[in-house]
Amino acid sequence: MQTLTDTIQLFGPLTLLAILAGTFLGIILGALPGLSAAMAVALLLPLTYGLDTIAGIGLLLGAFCGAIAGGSVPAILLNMPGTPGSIATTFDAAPMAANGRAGKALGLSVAASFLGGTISALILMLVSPLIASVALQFGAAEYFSLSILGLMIIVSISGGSLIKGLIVGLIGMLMSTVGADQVTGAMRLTFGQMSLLTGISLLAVIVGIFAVSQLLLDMEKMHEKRPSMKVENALEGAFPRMREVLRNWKLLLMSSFIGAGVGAVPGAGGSIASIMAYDQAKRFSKNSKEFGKGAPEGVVASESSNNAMVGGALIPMLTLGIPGEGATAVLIGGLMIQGIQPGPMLFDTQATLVYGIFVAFLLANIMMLFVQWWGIRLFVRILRVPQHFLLPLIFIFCAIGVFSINSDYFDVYLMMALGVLGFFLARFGFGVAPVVIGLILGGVAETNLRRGLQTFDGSWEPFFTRPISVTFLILALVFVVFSLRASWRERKANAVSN
Amino acid sequence: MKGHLQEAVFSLLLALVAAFLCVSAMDIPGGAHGSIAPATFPSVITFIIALLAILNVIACILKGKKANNLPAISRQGFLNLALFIVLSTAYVWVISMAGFLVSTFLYLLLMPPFICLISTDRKGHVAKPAFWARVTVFALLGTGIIYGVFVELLKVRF
Repeated sequence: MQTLTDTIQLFGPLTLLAILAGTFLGIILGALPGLSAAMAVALLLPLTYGLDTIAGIGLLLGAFCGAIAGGSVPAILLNMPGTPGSIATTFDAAPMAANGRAGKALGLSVAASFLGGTISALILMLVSPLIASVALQFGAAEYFSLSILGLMIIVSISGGSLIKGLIVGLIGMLMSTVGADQVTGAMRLTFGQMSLLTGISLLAVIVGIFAVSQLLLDMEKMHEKRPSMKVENALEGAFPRMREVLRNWKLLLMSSFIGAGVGAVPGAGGSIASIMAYDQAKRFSKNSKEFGKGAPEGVVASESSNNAMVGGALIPMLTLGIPGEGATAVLIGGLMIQGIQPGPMLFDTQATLVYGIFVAFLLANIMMLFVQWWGIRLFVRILRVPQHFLLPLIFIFCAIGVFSINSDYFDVYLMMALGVLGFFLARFGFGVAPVVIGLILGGVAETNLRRGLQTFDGSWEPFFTRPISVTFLILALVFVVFSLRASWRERKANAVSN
Repeated sequence: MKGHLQEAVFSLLLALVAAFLCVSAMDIPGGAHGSIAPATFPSVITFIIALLAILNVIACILKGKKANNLPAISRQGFLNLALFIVLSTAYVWVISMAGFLVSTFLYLLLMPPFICLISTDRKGHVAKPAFWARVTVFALLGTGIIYGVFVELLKVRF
């Protein structure tokens, strides 16, 4: 009862305003084609520096939910997903818009996003404390093995090539080693640079890798002719009533469970969640032949699952401190900037904060419904803002945001250098999210490996004999073998087709 | 240069940087103290990155286009990137010399016409007086809003 009272007290007007602002800005950023949810959260991260913990996290959660939901606007009106999670939305929403039912598609997507997000918030509240109570039994060996498993899952699932995935994940892990060694104080890879004494700025990595690299990707193609974006008559067709959405309650529930389940698996993300939910919806629908031609069920399945993915992705993040994908890696960065280390201990020592995060996520979903429902005309107009105004504005926001944390210009130059690295990694198909995930997991892996070896008198044996630790390591190996087998099969299939 | 060759060159650069960092990491002082030495983690990681990057170079060369079907970065693409990076780096440098207001206003005034000039379908905008009026209003408003958020609200000092 005391925790409940304390949690309620966290939500003053400033916190509510921060969640609202995060949701609003998240929808705007998500509605801009090419900007991912991770980039939206990364761009807003510097704003949390001056806020108290729950207001800052609420702002970021609002941005995460808003960006995923906002991604449906260009998916419907331009047949161009705003975020990867909206890919499956284009399958039916774009044909609906082409047939003069854009208003209905937008309304369905808003309502389904809200319901999917709310269901996943409930799943998060129920499942997280259970996982955290199990994770409290983990020691250094288990944490080391878990971080290796997390990294292996991400490099196996997120990219096409295991070699490329490993390179990117290891680059992130390498970044975590820079700075003064925590045990001996020895300088590691600082090259005499005083700004690196306390390690690489997490914000510079996050903003450089996710935001600046995306700006450079846009700049590279600037000279190419692009298809004209006609968004006139965007809201033709009546908005649906909530009753109409709730008529698909079975589909909503199924898609939300798929979304939350997929979101909880590190590396999976919104695009896999929405495509899986869409596929299942098509399989079980009586109107399966209508899918791909403008079936409202397709929009409901995709949008409810991609927003449910958010709640799912928060489960490993909060309970184990393991980021599931890019946006949760940025969220962990946000928590760390506030001096909070996510993991099972958080449930034990700062239960009020954990419940505050749950409530903030639920509120972000509710606010997302109202903001998007009433502001949809404004968000449609966002699509008309020309890139030559947007790109410089985003760059300034990145530069000043990164500078604001330590008032150090070195961090800004580092952000730009990492942006260039991120550009080439993205451009040549390496992917960028594993860099930030590797950076967070690298610290966890090294700290726990060293702590474990000290505890076990320098012996490696317990890492391979303790049941949970060895299970994680075997699973990591299984993911590697699975990934190698998949790429070998793909190569064989290509050889046959050639 | 074709896409897979560009990727091979990038991977080779990665391997060289990783090898350099590996050698640097080996010089990190400090003993193991019953665990692993501070040099171990960075040395092992950089060694594996160098090895994997070389494997990727070989894969790119042996498999050719099959290794990477992404289109190559064109000369114009490289030029766009270089100009954007130079202008943006200059902006950050000018902030440290001339302060936030002047540099941000100038950056917001110069970048939109620059982006229009390099984009095929927007070149014509630059010749129109209305475009310059819009850009000036945008630069003034943008500078004001960012100043309000970061300097007044978040108390960032330059």
